[in-house]
Amino acid sequence: MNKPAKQAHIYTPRNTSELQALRKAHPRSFPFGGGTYVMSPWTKEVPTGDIISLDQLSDTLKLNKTESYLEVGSGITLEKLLSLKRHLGSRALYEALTALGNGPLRTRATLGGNIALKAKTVNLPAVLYLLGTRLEVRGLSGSAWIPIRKYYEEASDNPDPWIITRIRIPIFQSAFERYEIFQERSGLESGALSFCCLADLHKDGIISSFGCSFCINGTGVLRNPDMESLVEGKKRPLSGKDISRAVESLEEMLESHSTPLLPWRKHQITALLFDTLKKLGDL
Amino acid sequence: MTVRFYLNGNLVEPDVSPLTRLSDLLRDLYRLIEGPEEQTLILLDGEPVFPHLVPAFHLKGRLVTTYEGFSGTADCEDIETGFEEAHFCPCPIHRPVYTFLVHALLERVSHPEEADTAAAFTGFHPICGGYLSLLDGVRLAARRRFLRHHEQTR
Repeated sequence: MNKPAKQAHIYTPRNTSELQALRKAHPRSFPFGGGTYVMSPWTKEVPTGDIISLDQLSDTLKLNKTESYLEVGSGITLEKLLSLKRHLGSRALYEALTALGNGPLRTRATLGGNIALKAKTVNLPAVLYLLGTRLEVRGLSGSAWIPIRKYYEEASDNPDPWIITRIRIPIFQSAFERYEIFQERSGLESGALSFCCLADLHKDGIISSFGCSFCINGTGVLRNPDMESLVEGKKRPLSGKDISRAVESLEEMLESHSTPLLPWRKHQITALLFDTLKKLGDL
Repeated sequence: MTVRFYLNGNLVEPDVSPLTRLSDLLRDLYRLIEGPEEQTLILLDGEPVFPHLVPAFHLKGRLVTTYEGFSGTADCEDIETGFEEAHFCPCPIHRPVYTFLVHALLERVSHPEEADTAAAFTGFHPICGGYLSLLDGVRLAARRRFLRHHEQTR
């Protein structure tokens, strides 16, 4: 069992203004969302001080849909998001949500919490990254809409840590979508990897857009725009030469990546790309 | 802190630390959970959740129903009888879990198709007692519940 502070005080803000005031007054307090990560038995990051409970934050419990994007409050649960089914737009996103644990877990887990875990859980980042998701984040000094990439790059020692309040997920379906996850149980364990690829085609078989991302537990999201530009504009099925060039470009990026990857991991990633480019040709 | 919530219909007010898990509360204070906590479900305001993921401070004013509180209700009887008629016999650890999952499914969909059942049981495979028997059990439970509700509204 976790060892919580017996005297911990629970603050329950009702809106973002109250949240900001509480964070200013209690800068060391711990923001607590659905709690599925913090409460899980294998988590070591147990809050030891006061807690700001985010579950009553009305601004983060709204879900709006426009023609071009879903605007999801960070406190919306993954099960509620999954219940949108085809209204989610991307099939890859639906698959990623379905692959995340089970119904009772998704009933508690929130989208904001999942994103805030960064690459500790690999299920969603690869898809959200490719879809061009944007986040409304709030620090003590104010709020801003930023691309999810920027959030993942936030320094872990940021003196003014961001809290996610809203998430905008563009709604679109690509002609080709592929999502894969390699995990043992929850995407939390080291070694878990997720992969997403979205591609669109012109009527004449030309690949008009191509995006491919990988998320590795503890390492983060990998994406190679150079490799993607090698594929874009090519006619499918891709020739062996085109596929080799794309794979080599990805290999180069993996070699120079700041976090060294084990050889089997590099092989796993390049094999996934190779297989996907082949499948793209079979459409 | 003192947390007031309803446990199987009764108001309780335990004095606990805020991050105490509901599973620990149920086991240590009320002797209600016996199996492994990661394979135990309860209903929190009617939704099946894992009690070890629920902190005490999230319980204020909520309705907690354990399998002990649920069994004996007409909703539970529909499911148990459906399971029995389909010869679906999961082990004592999985029976409460499956009962709650089927209950939540029938609350959402009165006549679930195979795909609905499959989606509700994602992450719970392999099914102890057999998947095909489970599908039959869900179908029969749904029928019983529908007929009972129909009977009540006449």
